[in-house]
Amino acid sequence: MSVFYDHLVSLDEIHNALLEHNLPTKQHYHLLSIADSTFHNEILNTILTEVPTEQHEYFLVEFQNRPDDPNHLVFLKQFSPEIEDKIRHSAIETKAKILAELISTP
Amino acid sequence: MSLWQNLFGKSSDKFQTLEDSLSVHERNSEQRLQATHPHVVGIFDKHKISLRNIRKHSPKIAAAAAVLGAFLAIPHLIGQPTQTTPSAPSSQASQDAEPLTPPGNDTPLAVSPPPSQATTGQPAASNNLGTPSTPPTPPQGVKSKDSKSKGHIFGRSYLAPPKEHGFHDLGLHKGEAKNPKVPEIGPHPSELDVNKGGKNS
Repeated sequence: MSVFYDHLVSLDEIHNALLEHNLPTKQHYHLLSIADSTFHNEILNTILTEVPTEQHEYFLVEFQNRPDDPNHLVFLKQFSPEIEDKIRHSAIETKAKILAELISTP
Repeated sequence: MSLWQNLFGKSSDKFQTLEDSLSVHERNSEQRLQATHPHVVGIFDKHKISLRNIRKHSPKIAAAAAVLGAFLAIPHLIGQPTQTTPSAPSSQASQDAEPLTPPGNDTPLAVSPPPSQATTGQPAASNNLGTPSTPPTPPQGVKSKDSKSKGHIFGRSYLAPPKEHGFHDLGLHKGEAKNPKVPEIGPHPSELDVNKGGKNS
């Protein structure tokens, strides 16, 4: 299932880096889910910083109910018009850390 | 031994190493989120939100919708809809039920069998006087026969989709009553005097 900011965060590079380790499928996707969870934490940190505190509960509940709804971005743009750039920047930083970890592991 | 390590041993070691290092990143990011927005922990607990499973929620909803859709579709597929016509109000229902009972009968259960039953071997109560062991057929049997013949209601099969488009209300279907609001088109060109005159000349 996709998430509304998937087009800003690409997991392809992490997926390819994990393929280099030639792991069994279950282990491969377990590691990918850990990386994905890291992305969620970092990006939500960025999003919640931009959104007023009184809107946090509403947004998180809506995000849990409909993770792939593109209207979330419309909602977030009311508070921060450049939210997409901030999400993209946060994702690039997180991806760099994870990729460095994957590449440095022999 | 090297083959064994390549197949299982090395990969499991590698997996453990990678899992540990990625888990450290995940934990750090979670701590950063909770440090920046401490009230988020309460929201997560209150609504049972788990970011690791955020992608797994929607398939459950989709599966539930698919099961519900299948249950709704089954009556139409097997040809046994529970209700084919909209339910009428009780006063209308009593009016509709009146023709079933003959005017002389007081009890609603005393339904006179259709004339075809006499020939099909459905014994009437008066004919069964000599054989008291066989009980008279209840009126439910008549109803079941009627329901059996309701494979087509108003000339349409159960398997055919219902007329929900509403075009039949405008009198656009053949063989249906004309809509009085729609003005009638003039006579057919073959009936015009011009054609008759042409034929004559």
